[in-house]
Amino acid sequence: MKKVRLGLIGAGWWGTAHHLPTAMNREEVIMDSVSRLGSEELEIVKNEFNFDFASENFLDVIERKPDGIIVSSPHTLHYEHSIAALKAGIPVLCEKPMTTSAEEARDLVNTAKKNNVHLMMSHGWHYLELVQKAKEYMKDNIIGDIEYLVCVLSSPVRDLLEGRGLDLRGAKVLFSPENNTWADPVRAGGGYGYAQLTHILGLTFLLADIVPKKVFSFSSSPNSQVEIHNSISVQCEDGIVATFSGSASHKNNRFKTLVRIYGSKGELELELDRENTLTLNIVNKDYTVLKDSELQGHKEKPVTNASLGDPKGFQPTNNFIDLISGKSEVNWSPGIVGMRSIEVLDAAYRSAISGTLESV
Amino acid sequence: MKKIKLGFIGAGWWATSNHMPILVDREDVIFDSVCRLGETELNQVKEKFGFQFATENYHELLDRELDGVIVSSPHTLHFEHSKAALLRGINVLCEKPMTTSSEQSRELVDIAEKNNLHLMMSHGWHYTPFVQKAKNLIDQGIIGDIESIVCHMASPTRELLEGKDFLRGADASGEIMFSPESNTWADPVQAGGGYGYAQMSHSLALTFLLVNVQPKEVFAYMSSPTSKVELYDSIVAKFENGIIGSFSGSSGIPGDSGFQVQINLFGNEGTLLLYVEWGPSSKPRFEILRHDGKHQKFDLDSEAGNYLADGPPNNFADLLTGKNPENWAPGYVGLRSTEILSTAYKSSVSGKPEKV
Repeated sequence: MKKVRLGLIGAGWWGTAHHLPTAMNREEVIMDSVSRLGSEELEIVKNEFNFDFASENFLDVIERKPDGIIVSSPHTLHYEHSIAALKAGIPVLCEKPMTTSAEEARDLVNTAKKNNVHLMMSHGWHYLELVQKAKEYMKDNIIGDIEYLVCVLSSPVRDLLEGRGLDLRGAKVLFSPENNTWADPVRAGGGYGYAQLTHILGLTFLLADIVPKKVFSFSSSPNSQVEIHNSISVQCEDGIVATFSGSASHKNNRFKTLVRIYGSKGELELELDRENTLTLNIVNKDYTVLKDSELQGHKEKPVTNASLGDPKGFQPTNNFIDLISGKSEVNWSPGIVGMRSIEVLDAAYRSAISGTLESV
Repeated sequence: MKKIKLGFIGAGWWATSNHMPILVDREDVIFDSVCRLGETELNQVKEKFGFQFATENYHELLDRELDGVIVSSPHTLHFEHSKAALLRGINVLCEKPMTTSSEQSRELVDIAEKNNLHLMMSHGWHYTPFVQKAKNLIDQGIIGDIESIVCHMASPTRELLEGKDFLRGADASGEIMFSPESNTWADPVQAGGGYGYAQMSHSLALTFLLVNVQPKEVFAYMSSPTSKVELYDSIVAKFENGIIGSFSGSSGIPGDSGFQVQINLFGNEGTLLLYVEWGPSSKPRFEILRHDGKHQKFDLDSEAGNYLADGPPNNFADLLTGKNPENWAPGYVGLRSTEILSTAYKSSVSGKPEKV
């Protein structure tokens, strides 16, 4: 068994609640190095997860050349941390949002390509059997040429974006989410878009190989400094059009995720909600209608807030470890997915300010 | 029992397959007069439904001291016909879309108000019990102040908008006199637009029945991959009080698929999810998720979202006879819908956000 040395930059709530417990359970992982600010907190993390090395300076982690680095620092620091790792030839698992500017996102993807290193985004839904099945259908071109997409996400993060923290409903964590990581426009780079829409954008760009070109958006922030509602209209290459809507609403309730992709031969619909369903609504060559196809009645276990509850741990972390240890060659959230998501959001944030159409 | 005299302007596919058969058996409705172009077709309609009078000139119909007129002519003629009726002091049930310009819709609403007349739109889902329940709960403040609106509709109308034969022989509902005329739907000049006017007028009216908010600014992308009018709509809007919304529309589902109408309303005290689905494998849904945890979920059977096509004509007749004072699709829902759609069409051409 090949052993891999793992580093993590940004050991806050999410990193310590999901990535590190999952990594520590994998016997091929050597917990090499960790970085975060705050010497006391850093020491806690080092001890809790048996790291060989800890530093408040992330460059010290990079200097140790681990086999892979997980970046789970605040949004606006993802670029700085990821680019340093990629330039040093180290594979990166980057938390969403990839970056807070399209230019930075493109730079990460190009650097990873140039240096031939893995760049992966952290999207838990991409590991649901249903999602992977949907991806297979899209690859097989089952709905024909993509013509239109509509994607709606709402999730219980209103308190978080309004600076009142997050109700973790009794979950044991080392650290709670830090308010300004999410609610401060400078630190967070934006609100619901970066914090949550990245998930449904990631899912969309995993399923649909489309290239966003122009974006118009409205957003609203009734009681917060960052936005909590998004209405986004996107034009993609080949005349494809898409609508993305997001809302940080319904406190203490689960995610509601709906992706509908319409093509020249029909529709694929993926719903992650009380139950997860994949519906195919397509015309075949004989112009008859197939419904629900072979997945009729197929039910995944509901998506939980943390995408945990899975005894195997957090799937993006596992996928990353599989990738860098050579156990798997499939990257279920390649950099391009993150890049296109940021291209849409960067333009959407610009548009919300300028009040005009913005190019990606 | 009060009897009312009705006139019909526009006697094509929908009027002859829906409004007329529904009303013809009502004892309190007199089928007074009908108007449409084409002498042969006009006489067929007159005979079939026993009208006392038939004309190709709608002004002659309006001379007959009617209690109400049902306007179901092509989209771009709704304004002319409805306005003429209202100016003669006649109540109007107008097919959707109300008109194809905000100014026209505003004028209709103003004339009706000034003359104290009923102006009603034809929207079957407004008679769905769980929709009416949602309207009442929202009026009582169940989700607080509205902050964001998400509305999506998809329906199997691609062939209609592409100008192909739509009903392919006998309609499932039985006998039809006339098939939909393809240029009524597929010709940009006659139809004024595609999926928006043809279908999203329903999802928009439903939204505005639930929340009567004034749109201010609209941006839209539309696409017409295989048609002259648009098949897909991606519309975002800003309303009074900083409310935002997205209105999405798709005709890209196979011919015998069901309808999808999904409305998510996000308020400062909670969220309301209303999925009105109709057809194969439909899963209608109505849920309220309140921030204080007092959620409500309503059990609905798979047919709870069926389109109630008899709702509008019966509601109109009941309004005029005085049997029911409530207008479930008042003129303002048509006005707000036109404001969004006509501005969206403008934006899709200019490539810029447009003011309502």
